[in-house]
Amino acid sequence: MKRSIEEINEKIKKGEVVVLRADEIVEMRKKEKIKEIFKKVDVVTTGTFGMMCSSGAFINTGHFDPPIKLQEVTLNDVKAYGGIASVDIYIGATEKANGREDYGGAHVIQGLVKGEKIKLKAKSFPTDCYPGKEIEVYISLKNVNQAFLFNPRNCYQNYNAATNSSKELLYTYMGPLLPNFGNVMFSTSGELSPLHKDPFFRTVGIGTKIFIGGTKGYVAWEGTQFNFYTEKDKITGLPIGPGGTLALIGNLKEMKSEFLKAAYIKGYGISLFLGIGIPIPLIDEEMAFYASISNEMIKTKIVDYGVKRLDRPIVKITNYKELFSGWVEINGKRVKSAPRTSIYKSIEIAEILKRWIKNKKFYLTNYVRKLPIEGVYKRWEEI
Amino acid sequence: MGRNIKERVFLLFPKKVVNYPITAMLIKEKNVFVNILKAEIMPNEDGYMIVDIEGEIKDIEEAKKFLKEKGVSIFPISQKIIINKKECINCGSCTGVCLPGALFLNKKFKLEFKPEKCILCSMCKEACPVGAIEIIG
Repeated sequence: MKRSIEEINEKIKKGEVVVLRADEIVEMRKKEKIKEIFKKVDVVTTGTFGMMCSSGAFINTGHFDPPIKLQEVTLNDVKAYGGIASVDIYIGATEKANGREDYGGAHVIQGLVKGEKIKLKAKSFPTDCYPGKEIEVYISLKNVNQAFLFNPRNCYQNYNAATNSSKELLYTYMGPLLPNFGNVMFSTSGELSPLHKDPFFRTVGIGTKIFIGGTKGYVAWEGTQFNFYTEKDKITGLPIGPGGTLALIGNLKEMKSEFLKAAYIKGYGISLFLGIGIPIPLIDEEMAFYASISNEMIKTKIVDYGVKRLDRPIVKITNYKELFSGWVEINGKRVKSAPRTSIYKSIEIAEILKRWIKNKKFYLTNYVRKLPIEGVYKRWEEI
Repeated sequence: MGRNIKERVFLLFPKKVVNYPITAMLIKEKNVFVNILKAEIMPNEDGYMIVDIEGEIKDIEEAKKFLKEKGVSIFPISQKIIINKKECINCGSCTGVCLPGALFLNKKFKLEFKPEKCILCSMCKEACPVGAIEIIG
């Protein structure tokens, strides 16, 4: 038995589609067999609201008179990249403002989404076609031509949890790690996380329509550091540790500040919380199995950030049921564990996507190219 | 019997008194309950304790007088933690550093705060990625 995307879209059109959130299908799986789930459910919606450092926005301001090429550019004192065509710029989420620790690119992007005016300063080398030397103006989402997020790496399929064996308190991007295995921090939405529900990228690929930042966007490419070869769990096929990633694109002008929030991480810097949701079509029983994978079935490694090397020692392999319980056992000791990803918001996103589909506001897409393309993740090597 | 009150105080112990059983004396002689929330006391070093003292007003006054006589400095803790619900995204980062468990995620993964368990260590403020926690006072 199979079910095509076209059939699902037909059901959406007729108002007959059955959609469940990822956490709801996990509950259903406790009582019903995969065969039954596949018969009854057409689509499962996922959600995640985590920090996604590898994010940023392309903006085209519109040309100035006299013309100027935006070369050295700042937005509210945060450096933007101007090394592309004249009035195209890219603002990266983690770029810090001049002389400030707690403000950066993510705050500029958030400010734009909130409707704020952002000060643009630019310097340039004058040419015959672009005579302008300097400019200082205000931009907002209303007066720019285009503004869209184009994020090279979002939506990690699994991620290592972090702990700290050393005697000092560490301030990491995973949050403060207390000394002597004082806590464990982890970052994915577990059974709600989009790529945990499609381990082999059977439905999510380039061109897949998604929820991003409160609007509709698309999977643009394989994400950077996409690793198809992470050791996989034999039952679920899911990577034990960081696996696939997605490069995503979406219209910043349509995004909402509830689903896009700047973050300042003490000791690390700036990042961006971004809400992402992906519909998982149940095209066959195999997808019904993957979509109903529970927290208990998703394993990850707890690694030791107390060792400051690329290869951090693995302290333990755990699952998300243990991590979400708030306590993890390490060397016979009960250790506090906490998420960095908002599960509350992740559920909200999966719920919104579910409603969009039910209310005919969101139709599903076939991917136009399958992932992975390269799927290579290697450390830096000399040529 | 007078009315019972509870006060949270920060006690600073000069090193000359850390070997003296002050807490025991407070309970036994001054008739107050002492609940130690946080303490760092080492031999021959200045130490501190955050405690709740509970008892009748006159007993608490007596207890404070006794502490001062022994050279212990008392600082009332009027500070408190405020969570800005508009900014909070319920990620739970703060719960991972809150050792007394004053901050926790409920069954719906929403952040909850029990001020009576808070020891004002301020680690939550450092862990919060969206600046939603403030310490006032």
